Amino acid sequence: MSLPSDNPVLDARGLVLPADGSVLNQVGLAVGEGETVAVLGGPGSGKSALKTCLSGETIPASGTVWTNGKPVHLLPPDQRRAFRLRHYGLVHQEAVFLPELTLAQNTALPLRFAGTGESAAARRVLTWLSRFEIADAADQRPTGLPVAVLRRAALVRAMVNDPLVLLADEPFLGLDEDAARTTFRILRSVARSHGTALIVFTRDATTAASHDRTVHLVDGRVQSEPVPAPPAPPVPPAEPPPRAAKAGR
Amino acid sequence: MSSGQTSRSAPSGTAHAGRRPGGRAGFHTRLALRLAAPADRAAWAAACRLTWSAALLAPPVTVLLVAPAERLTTGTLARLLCAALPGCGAVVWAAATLGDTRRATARGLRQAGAEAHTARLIASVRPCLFTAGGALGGATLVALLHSPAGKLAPRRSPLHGMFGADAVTWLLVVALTAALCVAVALAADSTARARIGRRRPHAVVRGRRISAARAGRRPH
Repeated sequence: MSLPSDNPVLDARGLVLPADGSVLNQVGLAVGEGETVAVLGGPGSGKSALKTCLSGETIPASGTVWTNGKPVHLLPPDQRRAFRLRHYGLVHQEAVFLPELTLAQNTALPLRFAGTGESAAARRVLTWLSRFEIADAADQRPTGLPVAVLRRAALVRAMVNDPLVLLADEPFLGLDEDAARTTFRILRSVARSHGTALIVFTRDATTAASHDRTVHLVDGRVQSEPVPAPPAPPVPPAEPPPRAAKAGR
Repeated sequence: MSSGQTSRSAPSGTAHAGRRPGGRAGFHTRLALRLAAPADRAAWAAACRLTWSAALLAPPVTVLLVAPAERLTTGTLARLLCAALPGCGAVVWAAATLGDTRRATARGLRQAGAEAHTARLIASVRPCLFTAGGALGGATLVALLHSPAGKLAPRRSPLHGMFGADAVTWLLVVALTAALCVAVALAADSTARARIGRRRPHAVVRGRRISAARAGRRPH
């Protein structure tokens, strides 16, 4: 476990949402360049709300979000959106790809929407697909591709714009342990080499454990200590073996 | 509070190399046309259903628009509306079916960084094109065949009054029919969505609902 850096890329403090704090209550999070942080919490713990607050999609009732020295919470909507597209990479839990386009074309869309030329975008995407070890699938349509490839493609689509902050909602969902470990290893290596602050929102403690730092979110509050495991249910007394079995012996 | 900005140089080959600000509209148009063509057989079938439905709806709408007002009695109007009902129902059903694809496309585009209204527009191109194609086909068929059909129709039929319409009127009516059919298809899709209520609740609303459910109270 490592402490956040003194000059974080993303610094959120005292986030409250909505005003009564029923979803997020005084949540703070600071992530440094190249650092990987897991936000661990169950359903309804406020992970999605925190993600939308950090990305500037939602403005908190109170609290501040600074990214790369810019007050995201104070930016006008148009500027906030442009800032988000330029500096954030978002990986959605249910990544949707367009079946009419190949995987390379799908992952090149953020670049194309940002105004990059077709050939430049294609070159760059191919580099990224190679980096995530899915270059073989570049010319295939997403329909019918394995989940592991699609999960990596979603990460490529988020990283292709070279973001400062990558917010990933359950990026390893549906992957087996080996595939999840390999994907995370690649993602962490890429994030470190590019100086991207990586925040993974997950409900899986195993996934969270492999990050630099884990933030536990419970009922909209950050818990400093790990969440204790729920007490095991009392073990019922062992039933006597059925009579028929006894009789058979 | 952090005030220092992370400096990021933009070496050649990064995301921002090779930008052509003027080419965005062209890219959006090309992408919309590319996404208008269905990817697989099932998508083609759904799109073609919309086309046939629009072709079924178009003839009564065309007759309604081109017929002289004095021939449109209440009875004629009722008959035309009844004739439009099967086509209208078919368009509503086909558009609602295609709506899932449209929403998935819009969602995929938004996830890829498109603005919300751009994503909606690009995703709407397929239903618009296929509806307009069917409606244009149906309306053109009426325009071409109204003369022989009018001779067979009773004297009081509105088809008789259509002989006097000039070419410009016919063109306008055909275009207007296509626009009306597209409007019906898009409205049907939106209405079906509102009725089905498939919209994903906002994260805050979702969080409130879960919190309220945990606390054992009704969400406010």
